[in-house]
Amino acid sequence: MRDNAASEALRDRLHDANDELSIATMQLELLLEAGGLDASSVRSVRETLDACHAATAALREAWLVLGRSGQL
Amino acid sequence: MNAVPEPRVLLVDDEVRALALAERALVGGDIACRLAHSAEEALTWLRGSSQADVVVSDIRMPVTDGIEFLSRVRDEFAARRWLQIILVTGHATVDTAIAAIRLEASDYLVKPVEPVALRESVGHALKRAESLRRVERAKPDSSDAVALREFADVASELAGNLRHMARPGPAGEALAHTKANLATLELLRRLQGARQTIFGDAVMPEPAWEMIAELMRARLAGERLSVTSLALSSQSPATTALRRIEDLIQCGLATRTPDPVDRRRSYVELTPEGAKRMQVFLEGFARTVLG
Repeated sequence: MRDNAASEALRDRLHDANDELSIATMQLELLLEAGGLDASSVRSVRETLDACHAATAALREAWLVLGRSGQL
Repeated sequence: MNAVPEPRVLLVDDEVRALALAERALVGGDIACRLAHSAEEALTWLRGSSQADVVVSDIRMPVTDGIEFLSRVRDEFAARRWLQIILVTGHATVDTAIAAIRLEASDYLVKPVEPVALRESVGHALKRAESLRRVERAKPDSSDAVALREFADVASELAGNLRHMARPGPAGEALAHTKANLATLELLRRLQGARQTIFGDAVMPEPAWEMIAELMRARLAGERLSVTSLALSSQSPATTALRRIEDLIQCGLATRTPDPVDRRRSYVELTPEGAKRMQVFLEGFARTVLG
């Protein structure tokens, strides 16, 4: 029972982290779409986006480890 | 002074920043939105206005979550058959996928959602809503004669488009042909809507056909379709839809490619052979209609 409660709390935190990453990713995507950045800034934004995607992938791995049943 | 477009899209999320960013992404594509920070706020707006065509809702919200909210939308606004639902989730599970199918959601997006993916999904849902509203509007004087007239008009327009597509022309006309193809597919959708008006539930949608038409539309529009989106578009149970997708792949009409970013997701597209057969079918259909 305690394990379930801890897992549930962990799932919530993973959701929170993913929500924050989603906001960062969307901000960066919109920044790129808007244009007007110099080449070096574009490179930095792209690298940051790559880091966000890597963090998202890591979160998904954590989700899979946490609860294999019921996953799509 | 430019008139402010009426919002046809309702965005629902308790996270203020996510809501503002989604709005920015859609407004960038000339799609006006109404924002709601809770299910209750969204329901209040929907009760006061019937102009919403698409509801995009996050699943994870306090008090009333997205699934419960959208179930209430389907119950309370059952008469608005045109209303399209798009679910947004941080983590796809079997439960939420089943809920999406039960809610007849038109799409199911997993965060982080790219602005272009959001615009495509909402744009597609708006087109579907528009088609359904047209059928709905035809209903008040809906004798079979009216519906049949619409059926005939659409068939005639479809045939005209196909004639244009079949005409040989220089390579530079490829874009015009693509536009004609898209218009043709929109007409096919309208034709299916008219069919529903006349035959009602007696004629069930055929998932494989619905999916081939959707794959053709996506190909012409340059959109990518995930397995989940394609299954939802077939308007049939998930297991049936997934079986039909496998059938299409086995027959060499469609192919599946894994998403390099998200290993759990894969995209489906028509093979060149599938696209060619669709083209042959559309041309044959036009000839049949024209006699």
